[in-house]
Amino acid sequence: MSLAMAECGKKVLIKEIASGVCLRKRLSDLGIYEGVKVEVVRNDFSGPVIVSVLDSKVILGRGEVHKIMVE
Amino acid sequence: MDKKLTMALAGNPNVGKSTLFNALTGSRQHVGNWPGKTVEKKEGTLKYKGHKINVVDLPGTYSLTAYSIEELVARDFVVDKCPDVVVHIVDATNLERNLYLAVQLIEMGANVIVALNMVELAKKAKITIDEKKIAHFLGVPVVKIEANKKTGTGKLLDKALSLTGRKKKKSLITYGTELEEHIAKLEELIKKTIKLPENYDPKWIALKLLENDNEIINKINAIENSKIIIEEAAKNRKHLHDVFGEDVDTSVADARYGFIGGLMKEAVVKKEVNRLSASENIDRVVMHRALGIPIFFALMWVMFNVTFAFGAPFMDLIDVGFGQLAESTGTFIENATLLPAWVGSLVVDGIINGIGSVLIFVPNIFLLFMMIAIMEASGYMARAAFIMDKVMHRVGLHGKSFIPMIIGFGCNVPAIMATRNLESEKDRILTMLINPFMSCSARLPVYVLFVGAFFSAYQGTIIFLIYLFGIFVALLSGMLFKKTLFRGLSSPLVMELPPYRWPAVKGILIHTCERSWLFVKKAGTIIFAIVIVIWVLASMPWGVEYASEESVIGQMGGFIAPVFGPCGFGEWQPAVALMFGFAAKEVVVGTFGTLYDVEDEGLGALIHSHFTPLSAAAFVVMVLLYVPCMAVVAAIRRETNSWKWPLFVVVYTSVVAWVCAVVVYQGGLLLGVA
Repeated sequence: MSLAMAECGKKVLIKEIASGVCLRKRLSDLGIYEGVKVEVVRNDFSGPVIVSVLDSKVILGRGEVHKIMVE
Repeated sequence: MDKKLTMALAGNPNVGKSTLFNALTGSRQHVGNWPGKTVEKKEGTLKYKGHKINVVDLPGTYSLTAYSIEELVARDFVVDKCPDVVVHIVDATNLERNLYLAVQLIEMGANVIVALNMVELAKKAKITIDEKKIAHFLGVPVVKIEANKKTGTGKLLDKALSLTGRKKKKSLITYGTELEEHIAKLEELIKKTIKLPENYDPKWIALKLLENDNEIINKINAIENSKIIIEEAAKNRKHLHDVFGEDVDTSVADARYGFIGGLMKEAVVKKEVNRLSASENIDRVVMHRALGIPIFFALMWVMFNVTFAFGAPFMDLIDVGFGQLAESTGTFIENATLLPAWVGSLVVDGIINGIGSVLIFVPNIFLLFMMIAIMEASGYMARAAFIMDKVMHRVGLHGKSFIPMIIGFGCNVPAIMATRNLESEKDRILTMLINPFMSCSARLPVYVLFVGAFFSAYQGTIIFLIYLFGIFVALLSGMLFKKTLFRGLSSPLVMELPPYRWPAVKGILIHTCERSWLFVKKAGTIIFAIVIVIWVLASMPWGVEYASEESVIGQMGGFIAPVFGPCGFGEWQPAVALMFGFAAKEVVVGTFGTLYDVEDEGLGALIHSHFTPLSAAAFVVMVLLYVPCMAVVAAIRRETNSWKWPLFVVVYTSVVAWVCAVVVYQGGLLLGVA
């Protein structure tokens, strides 16, 4: 499933980031890359999602979370 | 003897980089732009133990992969300018993510000192850090500092002075046998075939080529005989992708975080404390699903009221001061019979009024900038972007774009400058293009005059609708631009949500003064020049009454007036008023006063005799939408570093305004409204 569907409070493992190099780099700079566990802090199932990773919180746009596959 | 040193400050956003910069350099700062870029460059100097240290504040970045202008600027400075020392400021409460940048800086061959900031906060969060172990792992000195209390800065500077000359560092991270082999092979090939600029480390270049770093590929491409290297790198990249089933950049990120993870295990002890932090409690309210937007608007409302309430007395003071200055200077020149009359007019109508019309904005701009700086430093700005993203996304805009638009209600000049908060240049330009439709406070007197004269019973509602219409046109234009000029260039929303922090008073004041001064200096010079041009046009040919029908500007008004015929106000006076409005929108009402030769009190009645309700409505629409004042045009010129976009704004807004005014007037006529 994609991160867009992940429920609040769940810890998920990033399986695949199906996007261009640019976004992938940006995400990995903030500690989000394939093989990492992130916690979903906020997901209203519309609008941006907030995840917690490496002691910080990151806002991800709706368009971006669709490209991130998790389990 | 004074020895000169260059020290660069690098670090993630929100780690206290500016605080350290201010603590080190005090008021000896210089703010400008990086050559050819819209990124702010801050430089300052300090003297320490007989050394003159030039401190350069690099833009805050998470990485140095050169995918944003900020990262590119920071990386180019470290690689090309070879600063003697690079101080990397690290947030001790968030070491793991922060050290990712440290690793990259060290790999680039920079002389790095890690400055551990916010150690006290880390202590409170029960994080124990062994800085000696970190230093051992990274192979660079680590110093604990507290930037807001200026502790540890002496030790930091001592360390900086002791690190002279660039040393070749041993490799920090091993990227696994397979990848290392390819790096080594490519490194050999680079050494053999091309002559790299002297600061470039061949191993680093090899790694960057494998990571598919466009900037480096372009740089290498520009070197002779480099074709074979680029081809080889591409081949290796593909091979590695096939072997690992992932791109090289992912493997590299994995290895770096793996290394940092190992370091963390050795050097950092975290006691798991499971409690809701204050930040989270605040966020529960301000980012609430239903309350978030109302709270955001309430804060905006407060911000405006504070700005205008506190700014008004200062504006009045400036207004009265310049009025008196103009009057006494006028009398003085009149009495000094040696001087011709035109000198008096130039000094009073041109120069003094011109400077006055620039300075009158300063109190509001200062206060607005201060509010924005507080919102930014406290961490609320990121929340606002989150809250508004849902709404703004529908029209293809960024959540962050809403902040400049709100500021535009006050004054479009700081609004244009506030677009700097947006990361991508495309978003920045797009937001600048639609911002002039946000009705600034200077346009309000026009609405009050016209709406008051014709529709006084519904004044409040109508003025509110005018503002809404402005937002509507702005959003519609945004959608249009997104579908035409900026197609497919939507930048992703990936943003850190920083914890709330108390803003540092000194930092806020320094930042606000800098921004305000930039406004006075840059926009001021252009506004001043145009005011003089208008004075000349209004006084020529010699001997005519200032701004009368016979003056050049009056004749120009008469010449372009027919254009406004279809809008219902084809006389020369409205045309001249609109032209003066380009200098500053608040001039429009005053110009009517001069042109119709009345005092302000009787203006309503005169408007009644020159306009019909319908043509008045068309005129109000015109004033709302047409060409922003020259201060805004100057600001767009400055922020985009080209004349293309300001000219585009001038043409686009003129066309939109004219079309809308014509639709209002002709549509009204068709519907039988007089």
